Amino acid sequence: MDKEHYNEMVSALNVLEQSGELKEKKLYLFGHCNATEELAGLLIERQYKPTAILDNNTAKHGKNYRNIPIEAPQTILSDDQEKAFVCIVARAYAAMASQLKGLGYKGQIRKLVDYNSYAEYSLSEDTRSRMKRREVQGEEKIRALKKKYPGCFVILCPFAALGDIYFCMSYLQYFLEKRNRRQCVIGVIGSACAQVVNLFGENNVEVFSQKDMDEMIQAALFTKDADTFIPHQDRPYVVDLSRALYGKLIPLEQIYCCGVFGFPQNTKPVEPSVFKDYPALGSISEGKAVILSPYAKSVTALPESIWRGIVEFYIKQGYKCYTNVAGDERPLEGTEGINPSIAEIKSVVERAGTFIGIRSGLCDVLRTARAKKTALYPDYNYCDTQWKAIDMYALEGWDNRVVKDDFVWRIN
Amino acid sequence: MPEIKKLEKYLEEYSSIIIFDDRNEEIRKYKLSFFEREMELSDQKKIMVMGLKDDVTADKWGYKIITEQEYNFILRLYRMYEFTDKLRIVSYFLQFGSMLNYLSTGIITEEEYFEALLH
Repeated sequence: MDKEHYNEMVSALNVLEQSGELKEKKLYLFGHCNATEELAGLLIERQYKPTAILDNNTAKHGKNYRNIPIEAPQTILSDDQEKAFVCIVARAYAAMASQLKGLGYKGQIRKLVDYNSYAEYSLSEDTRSRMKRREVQGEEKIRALKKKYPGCFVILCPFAALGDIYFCMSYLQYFLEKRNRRQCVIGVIGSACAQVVNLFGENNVEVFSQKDMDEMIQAALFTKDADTFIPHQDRPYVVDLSRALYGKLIPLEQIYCCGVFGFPQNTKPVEPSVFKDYPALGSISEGKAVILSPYAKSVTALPESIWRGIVEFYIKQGYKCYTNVAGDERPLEGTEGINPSIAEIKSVVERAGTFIGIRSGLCDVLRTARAKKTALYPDYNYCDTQWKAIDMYALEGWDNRVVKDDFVWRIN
Repeated sequence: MPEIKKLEKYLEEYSSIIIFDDRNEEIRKYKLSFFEREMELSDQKKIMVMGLKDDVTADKWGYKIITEQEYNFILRLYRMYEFTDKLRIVSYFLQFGSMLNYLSTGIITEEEYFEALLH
């Protein structure tokens, strides 16, 4: 979860606490994802004990997160509904709320983060008017963008995830050729995504807030704008590519190549070429250091003990350990924090010789780095499909490892 | 607005509504193939399939013909915001990728496509 959404969640929780709405309530969370884990952590910190995390994925039922059982949504019906209170921080809020109501749940449901501004499951006049206004605002923003970049095809990347941008850029050049477009402007959310775009050469990039991006995308859909393309695997709601995963495994890279862009599966992705050297490269011992990357905002975190084990292992072997950190993230114990830019991280990893990271978009940025690279995968299912994260995201040429309860770090 | 009431009623009654934009010949063929296949629904699912052309003979899904005006009304709302997760529109869109790309690139078969639509 990014900082902006985290703060929004904290504010919403503060309001609920101040109004006394949570008093003597049995709290349920819906959707076991990274954001829900963050909410669970926050609630536990404030001395609440959530009753359960509801989730539609049967593979998760019977498991726990921080001693909170993960259960099927219908289990809430066996509880006193006057006392039940469902908090949702997942993107599918509208669908989840509708599902609970459909099951016959009559208790309270509250959205603590607005992850999906596209959705409101109502056809009331009020909702339609509000959504129309939102779309009109989007039209104005797209007009302004096109005025700034006349004649450019508009690419709107709907989500701030480095991996998504990486895949988009890997095929964008071919796509522009297919559409007979010479120039484009790429809209992204957050400067880190803009940095990933720049790894692929000189491009027009504009950074937007999530709100502005959502509005522009809605406008592009509504106006059937033939000069705009939204390269994503499951956003916004009209994109149905993930639906095929209920029946078949399609790794993420193939989803982009074939599904998003419509290219044959043997299409060779374009590799990034604009990397820079980290200024303090000389301070990293060559081939005798490890770069650790434990943080990812859209992936459920690995237990600290896993990282402790890895750090202890390498320190014993005489390696120097670094933690790649950003913002207020803290280095792992026994390691030094390091904060290279997206363009510099490859040089850091190549100098150190070893990279171990949770599988996040940063791993995509490091695909072409010449080093020993390990990607760690929490043992979770991709959305509500039967596929594990490793099935969807495995990296060629990397040591891909699933972290289960009995995981112990050793060199393969 | 009568169209809104009608749409609300469908959304209440059905677990999924699939609309084939069969003005496109390729989509029309997919639609006919959809009706020819033996596919099973998971428990308690109730599906409505819509199209603009009166060309379905073996109707086992409850095929409903809609006018171009009705289709455009639904499409306009669909493009304006996410008012449901029950609606699937089978059409070629320029602004984003869709499962139809999987079909054209051979990633999934027609049968797998239809099963995904029905999920």
